[in-house]
Amino acid sequence: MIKLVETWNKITNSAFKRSMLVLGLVLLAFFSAFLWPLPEKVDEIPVIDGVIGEFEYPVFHRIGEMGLYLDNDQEFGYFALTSPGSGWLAIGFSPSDIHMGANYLFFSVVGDEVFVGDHYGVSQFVHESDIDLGGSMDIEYFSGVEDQGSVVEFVFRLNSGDDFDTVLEVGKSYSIVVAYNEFDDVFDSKHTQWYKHKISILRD
Amino acid sequence: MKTRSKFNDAEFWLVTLILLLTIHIATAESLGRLNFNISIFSTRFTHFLSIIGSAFVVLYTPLYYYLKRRNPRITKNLLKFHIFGNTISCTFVTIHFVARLIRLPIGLGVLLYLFMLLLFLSGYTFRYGVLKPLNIFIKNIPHNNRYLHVSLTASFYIVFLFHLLQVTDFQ
Repeated sequence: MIKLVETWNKITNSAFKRSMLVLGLVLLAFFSAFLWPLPEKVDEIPVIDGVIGEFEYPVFHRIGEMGLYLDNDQEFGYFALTSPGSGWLAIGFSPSDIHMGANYLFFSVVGDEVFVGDHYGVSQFVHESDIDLGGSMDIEYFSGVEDQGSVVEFVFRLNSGDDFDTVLEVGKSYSIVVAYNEFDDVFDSKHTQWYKHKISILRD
Repeated sequence: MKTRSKFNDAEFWLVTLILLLTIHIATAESLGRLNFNISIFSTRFTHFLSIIGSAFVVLYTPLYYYLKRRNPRITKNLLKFHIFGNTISCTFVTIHFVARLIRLPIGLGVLLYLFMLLLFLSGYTFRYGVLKPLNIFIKNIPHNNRYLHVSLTASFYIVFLFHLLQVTDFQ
């Protein structure tokens, strides 16, 4: 009994009170963070500046090590693509057989510059520039930042009118591939990693 | 000898205040209620914070060990600078870590951050004895073990080296 009382006295000493106070304050600091108001959702089109803002895009897909942010209206698709590498990154819409038939959009961020390529999968393993095939480069706006990974934002017309581009219709789903090269910015260099995924074009 | 109560210790409360602010900011940031999406020269603001924080920890820690042995008389001031500098650095790196966690995969950064957190916690509990009440149940809990803090520092440097190689695209 005496030992029990001694133990209780030890527990309720000032060190114990101090520890409990610190614990209480830690919990207070944690839960009081929930009192911050949520930022209002801004119903505006994304700003193509290479920085993905909170609530800038309504849809986010984590695809392996890559990230894809989406928004669209009736005419344009607004995309942001992220990769953990410093080399090129790309998205391909509607591939039928590996590269075949896919509309590829390539990006690479080199310093402050962003290089883009609008390609088409001409066979299982080859993709060529739309311009070389007689089409056109249809990425409307783009921007990117390289910071321990790459982030690119771009605008693409849902129906560009180019035979080598996929027509994206609102409310429909499309299979996509995303890929990146960890170090190399040359579009012809082989991907470090690629992933298949499915996305939906939002109803406006 | 009577020891001064930590309740009256301004240093303890100041470090605790920084800790509480860090928890508050990191939680609000992870919930999307605080946003640090500001770019400076095409680099995120939080990345700048992490560079400042990491640079301080990496450079000052060996300097601290060196200077306190070379000139023991200034150990007290060196220790204060070590405590406040590293605590604020930990806050900076936490802001960057959370911003990155909700945006991109982070690789070795997770491990590095974990070591930094353990370093802070072991230092905090060691210095201020906040785990002291547990002494009656467990002997040699971390705050009594200075070697834990030192060995964590060594581990931190090993992971930091690999993280540096990773982020600088070393092949």
